[in-house]
Amino acid sequence: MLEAKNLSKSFGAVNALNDLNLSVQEGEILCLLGANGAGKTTAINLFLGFLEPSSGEALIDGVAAHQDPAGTKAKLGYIPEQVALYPQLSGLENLDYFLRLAGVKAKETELLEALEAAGLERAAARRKAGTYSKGMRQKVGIGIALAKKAPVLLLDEPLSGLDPSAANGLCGSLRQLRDNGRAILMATHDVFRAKEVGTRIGIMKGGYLVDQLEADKLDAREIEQIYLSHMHDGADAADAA
Amino acid sequence: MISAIAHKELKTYLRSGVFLAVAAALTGLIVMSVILSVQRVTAFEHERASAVAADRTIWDEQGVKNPHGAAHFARYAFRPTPTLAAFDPGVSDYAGMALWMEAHYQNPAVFRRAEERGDTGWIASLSPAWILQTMTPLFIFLVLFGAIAGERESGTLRQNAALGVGPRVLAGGKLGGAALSLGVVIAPVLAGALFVAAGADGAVTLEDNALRIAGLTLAYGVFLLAAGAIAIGVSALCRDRRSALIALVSIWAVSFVFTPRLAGDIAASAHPEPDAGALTAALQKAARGLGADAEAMAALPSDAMAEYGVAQMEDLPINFLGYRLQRAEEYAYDLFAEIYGQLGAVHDAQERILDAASVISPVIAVKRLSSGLAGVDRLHQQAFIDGAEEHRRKIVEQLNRDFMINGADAVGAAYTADEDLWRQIEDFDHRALSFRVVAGSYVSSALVLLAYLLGSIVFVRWAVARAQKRVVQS
Repeated sequence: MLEAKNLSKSFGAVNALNDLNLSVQEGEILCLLGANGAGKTTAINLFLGFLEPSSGEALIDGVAAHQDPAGTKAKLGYIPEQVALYPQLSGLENLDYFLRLAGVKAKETELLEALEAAGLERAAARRKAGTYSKGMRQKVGIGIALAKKAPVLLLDEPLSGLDPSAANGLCGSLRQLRDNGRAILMATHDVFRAKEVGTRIGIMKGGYLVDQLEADKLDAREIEQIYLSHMHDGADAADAA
Repeated sequence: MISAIAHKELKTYLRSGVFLAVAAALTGLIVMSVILSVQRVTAFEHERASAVAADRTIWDEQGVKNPHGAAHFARYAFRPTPTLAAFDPGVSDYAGMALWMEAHYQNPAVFRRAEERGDTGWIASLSPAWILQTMTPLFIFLVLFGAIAGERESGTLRQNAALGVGPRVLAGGKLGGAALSLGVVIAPVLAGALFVAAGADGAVTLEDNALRIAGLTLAYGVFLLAAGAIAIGVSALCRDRRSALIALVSIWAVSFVFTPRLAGDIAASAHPEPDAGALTAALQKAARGLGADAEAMAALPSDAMAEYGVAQMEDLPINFLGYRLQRAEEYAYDLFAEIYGQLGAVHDAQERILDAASVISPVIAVKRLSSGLAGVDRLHQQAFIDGAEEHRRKIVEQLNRDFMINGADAVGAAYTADEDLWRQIEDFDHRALSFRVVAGSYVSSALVLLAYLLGSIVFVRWAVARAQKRVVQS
């Protein structure tokens, strides 16, 4: 469903992403772990068609995102670190609006069901979004992806800043989406949440995908050790130099 | 997708306290201005009607006198209050609303309302047109400054782009939403203002008035839509809501307030009008034109004898003094035309400067178009002056001819007439210019407004595309 082939992106002299190769199939969650500037968000922006690759391809269902932005966006659900909503509209109205922008018309009952499936109660769905916590806004984001029936989801640090309870709820929703056949690519800093929801975990550093791990074959502690060792490689080399 | 965005914008604005507060303030201002303007125009129209009736009575009851003496006693031509003057007073407060139709003199118009207002002048200027031209763009800027900058700050601009919303759709939806939201506030008030203003009795037909109202609605619609597009475009160019607000208020102050004022001052100083004293002296000299022309004076007897086919002055079948007075009248026609032509050329030059300035300030273009369609511009004033002058010439000639023909046997000015003659003198009946003439005279202002709208739409499309590009690449 989602594939990067030798994908690179440079901004002037800065190589933000180098020769990325990965694929995420239906029913999979690939979590990209990495520090700030590792290239996670650049990869997501390339899949969104926001950026044009310097070389290689970002494919959604076999189609390059930058060549058919409208067609590939129709298959994508995108949940940023902070889902932004219009504060004067209710969660329900926000969902309806974003779906209309995506060219999808849904009945109110369908919208409410999507929000409920994302973990937002009906009463809350009718409240103005200006009163929502970050967790509730993220749930509306999940609701958009659900109601849009997007087969591919891109999540950019969706758990950042959430309280443990809200993060747990969101992880539950992501597992459900995975089990329903969605292909999900999630950028995160959180090793333990990556282990909790990911099928595979990719470790990124300096624009490179330096490792890919099978999440169910390692425990969280082992994943953290591997991650930290990758993070310290450069530092050790620099120290040695 | 455009309609989805437009409806969301409308819903959002109608739930915004800021929007509702500003809309209430604007509505209140327009309603107050309509009430004040209608009161002002109604009072003036009442005074005018009384003055017209009094002028007729005084004229008819002036008693027995020489007809040329009656021509000096003279009558007034009163300009009917234009039907839409309550909507837009234009130059009517500064242009005279009455002309003294005196023998020998083409007098300038008198009775300027602005001279009678004193300290309450600023209230009298509070017309619906002024509010639409000056305050409504500010209202639009205050409502729309966050249109794109706010979406950028909150993150929804990026989310919309992720859903495939392109700049054309976003700009179209935002502009559509602004038009709907502002239309909800302005359209009923504008319609009410025009309806109430058009109720006044004037010198135009109902059909013509309907066309003028349609023209005004279109002109203000284009003007305000362009202001909305500018606001959205500037909002898209600015990094945040605060800088967008500062930029838009600055644009409003420069383009909508200071530039029209400055352009008027520059036009007046670049092409100053002759002072009143010099104008009076020139008119007096023109009135004595024939008397100062010895050759023309010397030729008068032979001209009269040739015209009436007699060989001797004693055989003339007319009163020669009456003949000479009428010839003196006719002699001055060209001189008056030259004097007022020079004055008109000064006004034309001033208006050319204003036309040029309308390129940097659309409010100048809409102001000119509005006053033209409301019948309160220089074009209509000139039509009134020309009509009154034509009527003056007609009645002076009618009186002089009565003197010439019926006073043939009288010596000099000994002949007298009475109210039988006075009653034959018709009242001045002014008809305003037709809509077609007015529309033809303001093609350039209409084109400037249209260019503004098209330019602002191109600008908003470009600015939104730029904002989207910056936000998705950040």
